[in-house]
Amino acid sequence: MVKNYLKIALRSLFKYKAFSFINASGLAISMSVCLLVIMLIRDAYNFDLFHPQGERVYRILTDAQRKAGGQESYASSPYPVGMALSQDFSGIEAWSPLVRSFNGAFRTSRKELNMEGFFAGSEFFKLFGFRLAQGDPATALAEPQSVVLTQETAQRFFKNENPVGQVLENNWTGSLKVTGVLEPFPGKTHLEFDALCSISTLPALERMEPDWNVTENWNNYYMTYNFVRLRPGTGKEAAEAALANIAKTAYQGRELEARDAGYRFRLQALKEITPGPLLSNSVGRGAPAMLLWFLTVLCAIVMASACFNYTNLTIARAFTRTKEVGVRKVMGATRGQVFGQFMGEAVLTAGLALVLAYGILELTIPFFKRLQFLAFMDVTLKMDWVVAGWFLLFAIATGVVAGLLPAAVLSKFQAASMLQKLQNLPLFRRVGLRKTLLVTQLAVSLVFIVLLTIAWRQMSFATRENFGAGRSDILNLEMGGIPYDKLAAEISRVSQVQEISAASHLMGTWRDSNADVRASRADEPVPVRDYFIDHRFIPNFGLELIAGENFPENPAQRRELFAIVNEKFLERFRLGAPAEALNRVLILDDSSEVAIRGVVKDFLFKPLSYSLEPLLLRYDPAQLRVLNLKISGDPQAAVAALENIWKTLGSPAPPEYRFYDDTVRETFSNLRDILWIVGYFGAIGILIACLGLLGMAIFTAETRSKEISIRKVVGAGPGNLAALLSKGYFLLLLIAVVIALPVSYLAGSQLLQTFAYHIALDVWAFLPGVALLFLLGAITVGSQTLKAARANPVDALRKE
Amino acid sequence: MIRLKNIFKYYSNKFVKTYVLQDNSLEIREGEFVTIMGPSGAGKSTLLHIMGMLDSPSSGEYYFYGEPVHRLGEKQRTELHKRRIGFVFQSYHLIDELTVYENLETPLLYQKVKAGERKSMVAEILDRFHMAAKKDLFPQQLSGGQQQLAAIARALIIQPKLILADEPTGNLNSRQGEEIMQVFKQLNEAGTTIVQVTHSERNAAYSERIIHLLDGRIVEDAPVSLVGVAGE
Ligand SMILES: Nc1ncnc2c1ncn2[C@@H]1O[C@H](COP(=O)(O)OP(=O)(O)O)[C@@H](O)[C@H]1O
Ligand SMILES: [Mg+2]
Repeated sequence: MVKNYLKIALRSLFKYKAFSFINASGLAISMSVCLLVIMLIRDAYNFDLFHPQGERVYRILTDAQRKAGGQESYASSPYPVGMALSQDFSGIEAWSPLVRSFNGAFRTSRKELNMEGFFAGSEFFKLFGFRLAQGDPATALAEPQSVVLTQETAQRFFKNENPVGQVLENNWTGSLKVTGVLEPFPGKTHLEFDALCSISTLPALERMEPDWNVTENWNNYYMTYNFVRLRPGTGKEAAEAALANIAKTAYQGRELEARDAGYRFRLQALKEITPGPLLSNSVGRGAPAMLLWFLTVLCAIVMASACFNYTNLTIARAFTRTKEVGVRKVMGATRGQVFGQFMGEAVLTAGLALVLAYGILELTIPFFKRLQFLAFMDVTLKMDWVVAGWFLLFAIATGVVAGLLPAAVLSKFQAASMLQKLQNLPLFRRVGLRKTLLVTQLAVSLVFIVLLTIAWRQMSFATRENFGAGRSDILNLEMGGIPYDKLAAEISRVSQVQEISAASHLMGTWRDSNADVRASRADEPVPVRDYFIDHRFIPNFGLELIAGENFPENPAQRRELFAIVNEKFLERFRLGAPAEALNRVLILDDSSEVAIRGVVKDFLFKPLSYSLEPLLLRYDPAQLRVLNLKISGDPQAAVAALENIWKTLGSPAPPEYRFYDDTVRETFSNLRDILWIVGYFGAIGILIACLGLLGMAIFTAETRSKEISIRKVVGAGPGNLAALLSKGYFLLLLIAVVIALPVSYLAGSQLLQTFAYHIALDVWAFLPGVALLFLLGAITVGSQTLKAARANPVDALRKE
Repeated sequence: MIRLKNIFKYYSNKFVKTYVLQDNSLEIREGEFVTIMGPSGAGKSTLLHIMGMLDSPSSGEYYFYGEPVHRLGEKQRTELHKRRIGFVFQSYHLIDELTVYENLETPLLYQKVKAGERKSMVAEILDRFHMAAKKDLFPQQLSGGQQQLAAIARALIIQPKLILADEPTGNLNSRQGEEIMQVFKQLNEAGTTIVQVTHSERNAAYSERIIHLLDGRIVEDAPVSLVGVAGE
């Protein structure tokens, strides 16, 4: 039986080549992206699977309640919270805090290299599935001043020597003894590090710097990731209740961070970290769950469109199959059997499409691998049996979805009616369904194109207007720990460098820093974005001072004296006119008092998604991290000279530099990648809609061939006939446009809302898309109608 | 074998009901050879389809071997007809995508006959109709007469108790038509009940009983001998 169906299916696939091609290729094209997304999703769930009893491992999250209302969720939590939980709550089997900021340059007698990592608790190896190639997991992170290296890092430092027992020197942590070397990571993990330092090293460091405390600071919920493993049988709820108790006693009467009203703590299962919700302070790469959802929805839309096509064409073509179905019913086929047969054909077509799709996937993977954010998410696109299984399941599901409607329709009729004249079949009187499907497809594709146009124009606008845009004459150089005055003095010898200024971090990027500002002791502190700059920054970037003066040069400054603010700042703190505000005292972060020395005219110092906010410019040479070099003449030569000078400065790392307008482009690279992806989906959507249109056009031309011939015989020219045949499609396109425009207008406005500054939604947002749709529609339909109109009338009439 | 009681069939179009069959009652006994005659559009095919359970009457009762067909669901009706009724149509209705062999095999597939048995049954019927040489050809590669023979072979392969033939010789020349009628005659002599629709008096003469339909009503139902007498 199955063999019989298979034969029929294959033979009819071959017999109606054009239809089969349209069906299979439409499915294949959209399937190829879905396969990619399946790979991506599968990969995204490959994180942190190697930890023993990982299902009982949780991370403590902080929900920081803001005074201003609302809350922000952090992946990190205060160190003492984790400690208290592990001590007070009996359900904890193991606890390991991971404290950030273990990084910098480390030296052996021969080498200096940069490392990044964590301070890790002594139970780290009990909690996680990382294994030691050398050293004892029970004691490696127990003693102060101990460090464990990844195999790669150990190689970098010690080549083939035995690393265990060696010593690494660092300016901050002092000398650290290597107590272990890790095996290569057994799988993907959101925890990325070169080295782990024993957490018992921290207290000594804290004593050196009275301002800086992690292990006893209940308000520092930024630095520590607290991981715990619950005992078997201990519920997450019980642990969370214990956390609530701890928080209640610990924060009673305690002064919180200025902007915070309180903290709540909860547990996040290890397997929910990647892919997981977006959290502040999160570490590690891996796709956020939201992105996966977004891609899945795009896939669903594209796939639905391709399935529409199949449905549409198969129903349109049903007239060639009704006789067969009728005969089968006469032979004793039940409705279920006929249904099964058509489902089988759909699944077979989907299987064929899968083969094609796999080919397309292989061709497009290199392109996707170039996308930056895939690399950023640590995605490896690779095939394995599980992925193959998913592919197969997906193809079957696609076939079922695509074939459901045609199979239902074709199996429903009584045998007698299927053997009669086709015109009597209700199926053929109801073309409404097919038209609706087609219009939906066209409308969806148009929405895609319009949104893409809008997003693209907005992104160009945002890039163009961003701080630093077009400044290809400014080269930003990371100072890499070299003191500001020394580096500036050396760099100024490069002849192409006209001007040097410096800042703590770059304006016009996502990098942020805040200071809590009060205009008087009685006020509530308000967080304000701040930048440390030097005395040459304002002239170098041509910022306009509308009152007061620039910072005076004062490299030896012991404490901060001045601040420069923008107009918005004056507004926010009600400081009156710029001239009045001069010399007003501001209290920053509870510690320093500074006088307003100048007011700059408002300018956009953040990407355009931010609205214009108060700005605090501060002067403290010790905080400067990046030099802005104004270059004239040959940039290549300047860069070469820079590289040469850098070598003489004894920095362990190579120089990191970038022209400002490249940085701006980089700022939007994620958005650009997403646009590429949406664009790709959009292109596929359009392609599929056009295939659908083509299929309908072929069908119409075929079924109307007799009418066309008769009209020709009585004297209609090709022009008349083309017009006659395409009129209906023109109307469909028009309806699609009428539906798509308001939808894309609404969605487009929503999209633009994410930018504080955005383009207007004018006719140019819509016209290109509409024009493109009509053009493609005209080409698709035109090709078929012209062919029909040109055909020799006698051929068609003889057939009848 | 077949008993029809007050059978009506109509098609409703918006608000107008068009009656195709009006209040027909009829009995056909096992072993009969019956001809249905009447002008085009009289409702002959519709009546045949109803007898074959390919279509259901709008109202009325239908008993097949005493089973009330009008009360059965589609699935049970299919079960009933697929083992006992063979169909032959004017336009053959072979499946274009299948070879002669595969076409003959199809009804057996729906009866879940085992592969080995299927093979011998198809081989046997091919021999009987002298079509073994043509078994791998597709229907379009055969002449009209050969296609109709294949269609009859397909109807007979299930060893039906009843054969319903709707203008089986309508598309054939007289020599081919004669051949088909000879086959029917032999089958009838071997005990198979046959109901055929035809416009040809010569074909009708092979049968024992003639039913005349006019505008959806049976206007005459008599043995061939009587009709013949009336004609003289
Ligand atoms: N599906 C249908 N819808 C409406 N009318 C139909 C349908 N099928 C058949 N008819 C009508 O029923 C009448 C009888 O048809 P039919 O039984 O095929 O006649 P015959 O076989 O005697 O030529 C015809 O007038 C035909 O137009
Ligand atoms: Mg008829």
